[in-house]
Amino acid sequence: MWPLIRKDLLRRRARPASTLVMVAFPLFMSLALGSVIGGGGDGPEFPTISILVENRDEDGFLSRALVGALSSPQSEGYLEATIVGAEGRELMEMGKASALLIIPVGFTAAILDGTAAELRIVRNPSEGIKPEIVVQGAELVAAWLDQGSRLLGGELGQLRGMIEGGKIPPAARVGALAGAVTERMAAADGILFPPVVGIGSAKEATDEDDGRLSAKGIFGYVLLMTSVMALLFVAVRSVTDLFEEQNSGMLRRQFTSPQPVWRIMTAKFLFSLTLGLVVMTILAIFGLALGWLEVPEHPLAAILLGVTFNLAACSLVALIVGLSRNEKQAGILSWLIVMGMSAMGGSMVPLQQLPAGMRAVSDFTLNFWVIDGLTRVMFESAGLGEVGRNLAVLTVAGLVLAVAADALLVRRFREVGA
Amino acid sequence: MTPVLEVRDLRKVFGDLVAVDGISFAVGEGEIYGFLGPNGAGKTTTISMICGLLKPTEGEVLVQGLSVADDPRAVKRRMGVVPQEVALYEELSARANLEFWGGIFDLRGKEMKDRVAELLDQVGLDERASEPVKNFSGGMKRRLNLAMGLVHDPQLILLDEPTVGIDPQARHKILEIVKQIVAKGRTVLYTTHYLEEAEDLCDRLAIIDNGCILAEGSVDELKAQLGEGSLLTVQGGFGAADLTTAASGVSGLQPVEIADGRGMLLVGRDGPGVSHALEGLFQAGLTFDDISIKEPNLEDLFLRLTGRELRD
Repeated sequence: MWPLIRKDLLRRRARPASTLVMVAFPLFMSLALGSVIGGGGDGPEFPTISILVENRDEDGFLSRALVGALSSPQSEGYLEATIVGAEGRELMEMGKASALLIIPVGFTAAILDGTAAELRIVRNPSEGIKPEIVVQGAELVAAWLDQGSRLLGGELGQLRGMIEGGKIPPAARVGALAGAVTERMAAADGILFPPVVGIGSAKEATDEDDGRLSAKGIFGYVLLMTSVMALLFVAVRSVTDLFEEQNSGMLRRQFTSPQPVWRIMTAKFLFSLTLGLVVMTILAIFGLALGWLEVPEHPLAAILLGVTFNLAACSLVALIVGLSRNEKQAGILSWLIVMGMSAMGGSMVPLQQLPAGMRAVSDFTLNFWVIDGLTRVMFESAGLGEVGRNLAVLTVAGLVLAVAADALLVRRFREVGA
Repeated sequence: MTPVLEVRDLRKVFGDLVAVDGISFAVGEGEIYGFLGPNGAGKTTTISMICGLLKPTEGEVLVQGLSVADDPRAVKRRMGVVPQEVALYEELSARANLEFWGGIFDLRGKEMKDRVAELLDQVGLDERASEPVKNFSGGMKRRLNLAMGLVHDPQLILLDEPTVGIDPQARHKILEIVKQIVAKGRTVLYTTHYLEEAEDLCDRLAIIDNGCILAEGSVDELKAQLGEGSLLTVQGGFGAADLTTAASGVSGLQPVEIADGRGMLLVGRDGPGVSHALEGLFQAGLTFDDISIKEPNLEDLFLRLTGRELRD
């Protein structure tokens, strides 16, 4: 069988373009996405957004609360707020921050009075996504303040009186105000809370994800995600090489040799598996050399995940080819399935950020099982035992699909002899 | 002696189409057996059944006494197939192509190296053995295509139109190689629709059309089926019936193929001769625009057997 596999490897070496594209794709995507988000090879890599805050409403309690929230420990690691004065614009011109947030004079009063209030943001034009994040965040704050002002206008007025009165208010007055606020909130529960709670949940998911990324690097994570998709395309390219051989007459010619059809098909399958492992190894070497990945604590777990994923990927593509009536159909089906699995399995969007509907079907994709497993092995020091389920799913899927695919390929291509 | 190749009542039906209809023949050691017929006659289908690519609807193929149906792997080891289309890996070198093919016939090490070198020399590609095949001319590819079928030194070689689409020089080279193979005692089944090749190369020939063997024998035996003499071909404004009637009145003149405006007649060697025959036809009132006289060949026999020309 070796001459059959060797021949395909030699052919791939003689025409390396498609393989190089598959290697370059994840590297490029990692570089592009990582750079856009602002990660780096050293230190904390999740983007820390630097923001300057010029609070011209120094006496307003809402503006002070906003400044305090921006400087809170919860935002540490991804938001760095610096209180500035009039020199804010000058610092922005020097590119010292992603954005300058200006809280205008009378901001608190305007909110409490229910009149128009404006938060001004000066963006750093040399940055892309970070200032946009600040703008989006500010819009969220504005929405909250707007809703709060509309809902609690009267009560907030009373609160201002208490705060600005300079005396400690009577406990009974505070209690009455608290009761009134509670009643208002309860009355608005169905309208106000769902979106607020929704935002809060999304924030929590992001925080969890950020923690993982800041520890090990967003480049490595994106490389892992996109490599899985690239390996699926490598499998498609190598298994569908059968059609190329069919068109060139070489497949028919091979059938005149003493090699049985099943062996020719199995050799093509093993070639695809070998090529996938070669590409995977190259990507891993690049990832390590560039500092995007670190050698995991349990390398065997990572290797086994890679091998079983490649097995399952090649088997799946072989099955598709075996079921297809012709080359065109096989190409379209393979592409749709690879793209679908990549979208739902975490190769395009991190698993934690997938919408709930898509996340529900992730378990049915090969991408999910390998990305989930590798993420834990590479970034959380998980060992074989912790990714045993992932390995089992990929192995069983690979073996079952391989047996079915080989039988279908033999049946599908035996007709080539006719 | 057991023939190297024996085909018995071979038949292949695709739906309503009978592609091969009960063919039988045998080829001995060191013999070149030709399959001469137009495109679509059933030559490639027959080859496909012999080499095990197609399962016959009926009949049997034996190679050195082994049945293709019962023992395909053993038969395939004894057989080299050179397909009609050039089937090579264009991105690989000539040497890599031959090594791959040798590899799947279990050649290894020095045996492989020596055999590949010998073949590259034989087909005249030794100086360009390391170049990708995509850089080769059509003739070079044809020669390599032939060499691929010989790499495991098979006893029986099936050559399916190996000279299609190449220049005369390259064709001559390929025919020379085939003769060298046979000189080593190998057996060749050679399909072609080129008359000159069949006449030049084959020890025996089968003329095939519509899946049937119409005639079989050596070139001389087949020509003899037309009779001894010269072929007189006439063209003009006459009808087929007029020429038939006129020819029947001329002694020593046999109709071979007659149609409106065209006729082929055999002037017997022992008869009164061509001039006498023409005089008889003129006297019958026929006039001709064109007259030609030649020795009969296989094309004429094919025309007589099928009513159409070989290249129709």
